[in-house]
Amino acid sequence: MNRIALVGKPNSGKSSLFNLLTGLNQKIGNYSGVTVEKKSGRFQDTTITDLPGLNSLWPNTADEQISQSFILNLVHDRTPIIFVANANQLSDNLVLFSEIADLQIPSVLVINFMDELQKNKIKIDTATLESRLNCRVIMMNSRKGTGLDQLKKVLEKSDFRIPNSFCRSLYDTFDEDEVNNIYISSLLKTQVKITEDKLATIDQEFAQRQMLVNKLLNGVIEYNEKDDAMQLRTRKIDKVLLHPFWGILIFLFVMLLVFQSVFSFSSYPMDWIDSLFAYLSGQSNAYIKINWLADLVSNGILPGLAGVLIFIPQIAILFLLLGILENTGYLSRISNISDNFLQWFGLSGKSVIPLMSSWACAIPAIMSTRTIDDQRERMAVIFAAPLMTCSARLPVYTILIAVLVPEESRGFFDIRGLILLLLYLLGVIATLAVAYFINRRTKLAESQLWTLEMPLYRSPNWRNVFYNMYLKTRSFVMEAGKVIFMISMILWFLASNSPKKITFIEDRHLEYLEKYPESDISIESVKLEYSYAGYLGKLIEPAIKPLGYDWKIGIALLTSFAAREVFVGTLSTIYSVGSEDTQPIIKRLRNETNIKTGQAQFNTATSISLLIFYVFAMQCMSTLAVVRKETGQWKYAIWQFVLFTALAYIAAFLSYRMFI
Amino acid sequence: MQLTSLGIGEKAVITSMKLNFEARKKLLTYGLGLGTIIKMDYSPGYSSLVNLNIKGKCLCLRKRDALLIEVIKYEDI
Repeated sequence: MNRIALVGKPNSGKSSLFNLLTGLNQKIGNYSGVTVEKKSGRFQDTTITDLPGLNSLWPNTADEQISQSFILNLVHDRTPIIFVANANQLSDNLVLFSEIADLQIPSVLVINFMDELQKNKIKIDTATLESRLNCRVIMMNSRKGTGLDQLKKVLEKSDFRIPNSFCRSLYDTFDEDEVNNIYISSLLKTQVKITEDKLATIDQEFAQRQMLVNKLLNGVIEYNEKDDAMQLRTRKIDKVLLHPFWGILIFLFVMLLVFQSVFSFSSYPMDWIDSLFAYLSGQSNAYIKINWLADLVSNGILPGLAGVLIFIPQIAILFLLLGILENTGYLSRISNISDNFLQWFGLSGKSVIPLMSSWACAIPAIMSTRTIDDQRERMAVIFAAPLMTCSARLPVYTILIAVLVPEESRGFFDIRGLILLLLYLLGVIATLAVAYFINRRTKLAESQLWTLEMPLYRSPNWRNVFYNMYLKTRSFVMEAGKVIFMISMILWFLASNSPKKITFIEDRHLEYLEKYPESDISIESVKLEYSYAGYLGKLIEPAIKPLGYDWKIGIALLTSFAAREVFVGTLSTIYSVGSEDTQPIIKRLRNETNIKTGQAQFNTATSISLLIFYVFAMQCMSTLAVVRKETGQWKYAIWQFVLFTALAYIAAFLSYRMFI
Repeated sequence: MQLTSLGIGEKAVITSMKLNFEARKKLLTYGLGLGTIIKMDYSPGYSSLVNLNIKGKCLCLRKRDALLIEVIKYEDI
């Protein structure tokens, strides 16, 4: 099978091109380091690999190392590459191209974002460039697909050529037939360490490459000496968005808008889904004549499904808004304005992107820390990122806030949105505190230089924004949904069956009625108490009682150690079992009473205690696995689990005591 | 003169870098070495960063690092 690699600097549009060619939809953003792992897809009978962006074959970060190793391996079998260059920084991009050209790999040069050149009235003489490079040059706009047909023709004809080399005089022992030349072996040595002497050679090499590229582009392209329109517009917008007062105010306003929108715009579709499933449960009870099957459908399957599907509106809206911020280039500005502040915690503006990605999911966020070149900062972000409020916490927060604040929405700014914002802020504060602690404790050395690239502002690529939203939502439904649904089924079984005989349960029911005559306790509640699930919950009840939780909440806590979002599905199933009542789950939770005290089980203190528990608890097995993968050691993942669980327990205990 | 002394919109050529080995290596990969022409895009007093324009690309450095880079104004060459 044929293979092709997509190579280029960060933010040159490789992933958009990859998506165009393969029809896959890889995550795309307008900031460096969106692709942190190589991805593969198919174009006809060819496998295309999209590599993380790299600035040079002398790598600085973990993701650049991935690309460098991959490219050096291409030399042996002469696997061709498509080099994607950003038209706005052509000379800079061609310096990297020159490094790869010296490896003598068959190549095609794609000059991307041609629309931006056209806007600035800059022309490139591609025919001259082709003859000087000895390599096909294709002008493209990968966002709109312009130039794609031309590239496809090149791929179909396999019109890859070995480009002219640039700095061969520096590697005069380079032999056409021998790939083990000095250039490659010196690059391979950089994977171990670059010496001080070697840097002087690299310095000399870069100066020579820059000179050769400038010579190459002489007469091919002329940069406007004046500021071009795109840069001028970017600078004008930056004056406001990087302003010490307005910039921060706009940032806070944007974040408030995001969270308010998540609540306000999703409330109607969520109510519809909730009511639909309540109706379906009622219908299945009425129409299915086999008792156990009706019970399975109305109290097992349907509440389990509802527990997954009800959160689609919120998750979709959150990802849509984060996608727009990414695509416009605003995320890099957030890095810029937050750098001052984050330095207090030993972090930098570069940590903002992984930390904000944690609002969606900690797993890609932890993987994206590879773009942080300071190892100490990277370790601090990996450790602290799971405390940011991920989308899996959103279902838990939503349901508990709705139980806590029963008032209906009053206009756009309702109290529930404000509580959600406070919970997100608490997550941020906890993250920064833990990051500060890790920074102080770690023995890794701090790197001297910090850099941040700021892309030009671009209008979002709506197709990619919406498709990313769809993919994220689908992944929640398919991946988290499977776990939630499966656990819901197991729970239904555990909650519907008991090791005790029915006569024992009836006796206990009568005892309760005698002891608490005003409680109006149903036989179903007693059945649940003496079910397998009830015994499991009671086993941990002594440990969670100080937090205000009963054995029913205990079951939900146990199951959600696999994944947080399972909590809601579990509650949904537990409180449905044996119930003839088909009202929505939020109302059912609000009406749930403690039979011994006769008071509401989900009172203010318990709801707040649960919310606080979920702010800190490390309840995601997948995140722990990724932490182990990225740090190479289990000890960090185990530490994270122990520390966060202890933190969650103490914080939940204190908040329960405060509000009781 | 120090890089941080450049005014907004002023162009300069890098003449020396008193940065450590890793830092110099990193700057080279961004195309920033001795003799590179840069332009000061943005350097507000409150911020810890300077925004430099290198061949149309905007790169931010921390002021404490930029203090270690010496430049000559383009117009003085």
